[in-house]
Amino acid sequence: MTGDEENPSQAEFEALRARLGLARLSPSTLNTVISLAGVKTLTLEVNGLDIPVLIPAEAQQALGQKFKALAREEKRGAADAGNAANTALLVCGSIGGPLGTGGIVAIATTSGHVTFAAIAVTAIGGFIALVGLIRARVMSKRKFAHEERLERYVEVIEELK
Amino acid sequence: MMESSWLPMDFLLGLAVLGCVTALTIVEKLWREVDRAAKASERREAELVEYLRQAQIIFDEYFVKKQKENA
Repeated sequence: MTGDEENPSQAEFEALRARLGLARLSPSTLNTVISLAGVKTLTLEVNGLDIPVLIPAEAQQALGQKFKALAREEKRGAADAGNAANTALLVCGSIGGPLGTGGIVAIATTSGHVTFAAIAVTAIGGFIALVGLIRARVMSKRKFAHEERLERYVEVIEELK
Repeated sequence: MMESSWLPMDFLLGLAVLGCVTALTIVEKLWREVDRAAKASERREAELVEYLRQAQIIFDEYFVKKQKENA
């Protein structure tokens, strides 16, 4: 998502607007609008789709507020996801690690029917640690997605100032 | 290896199962929260796109009006 004072090529711009169902301005009006003082062109890149939006000066503040609210939500989401990833890693590491280690020690020092329990404990400990690692990794990905959106929203806020 | 009877098998297994259930419950709860937040974020982005499309139609009308006033 980028704000851009420079105008894209006219034909490209019109084609894109037409594709998005925003071609209500005639080409001559569009030229006039783009040359108006205070008008800003925002290009929103969402899911690979570029959405050019002409923002009149009067609406820039209100739109800025909307983006600020979205940025706050994304910031909170990123912090929550990061904390959750750390907690998952901590919980699974602190439970799975000692269980696995204890199980290995038990295997080494016991025999007979107790060995079965030791193997089971080792397997369970390893499973918990693995689940924690995988979940923490996916949560970190979610955190980066939030941060990426936050960055885009902040860029737009800066451009709208 | 030596034969040992001091380590109760039931206790060991019970501890492991308890640890497993606790850890998985906590992680699952955290995962649900993160997943819900991520889906809400995607929904907000989609709503933003729709909002901007609608806003642009209004802005277009505003620009036409402004141009007529200037003409």
